[in-house]
Amino acid sequence: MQTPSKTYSEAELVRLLKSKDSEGYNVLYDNYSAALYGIISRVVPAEEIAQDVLQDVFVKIWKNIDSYDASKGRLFTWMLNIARNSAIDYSRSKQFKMENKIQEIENSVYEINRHTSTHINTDIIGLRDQVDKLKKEHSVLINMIYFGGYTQEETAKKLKMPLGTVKTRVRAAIIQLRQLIK
Amino acid sequence: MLNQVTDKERAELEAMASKHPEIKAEIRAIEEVLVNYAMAHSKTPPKDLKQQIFSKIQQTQTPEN
Repeated sequence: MQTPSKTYSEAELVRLLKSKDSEGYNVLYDNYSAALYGIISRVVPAEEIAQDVLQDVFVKIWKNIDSYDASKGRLFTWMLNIARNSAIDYSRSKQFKMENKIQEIENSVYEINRHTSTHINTDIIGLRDQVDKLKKEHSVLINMIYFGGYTQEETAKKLKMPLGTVKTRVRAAIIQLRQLIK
Repeated sequence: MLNQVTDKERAELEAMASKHPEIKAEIRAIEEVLVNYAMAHSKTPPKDLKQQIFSKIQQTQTPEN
């Protein structure tokens, strides 16, 4: 994360953004673009597409900042949701599904590599190391629900698991993540 | 996290959160985890993207002000 030239409180920043102040968007970009880009890249790994999605996200923030309500949550949470939803919308589009087939193949290669320990893809491990510290049964769910955009119901169906089990495990996973990420 | 639920569930959750501070605190705590998660997985976009995004924003008409 880059250090901005001037530090603003979240409330000050929101005020600048709502008045469409370019300094506000400058600070926003410098502080949050990497986090937003990271989340987008988890859902949409192809860099060129992830960059398009990030551009969309900033346009959406600019257009919709007036609907941001600080009493309902932090600005960052609001932006993360926009980023994640935009990426997930994209990933459900037709074009992406084709590209995703290739990614799935790469992922399965990665899985094989990981099991045989013959080759380590540091980039993927870097991205996924926190979730990988979870038990397998938990990390699968976090990846599907948080990064794949599946609902808990869809996840249950896809994994052929009772919905109650999915809910319990998601909850357990979040508690563990909370302890892992400080 | 709140958009893993339907609109109806979300409305109920928000209504409960406004009545029960401990539920609100729990929701915030979960969101905090995801925020930290995002921060931990930051990825710096290419340098020229900032300029692209800013010129795109400038072209975008403000809906109403």
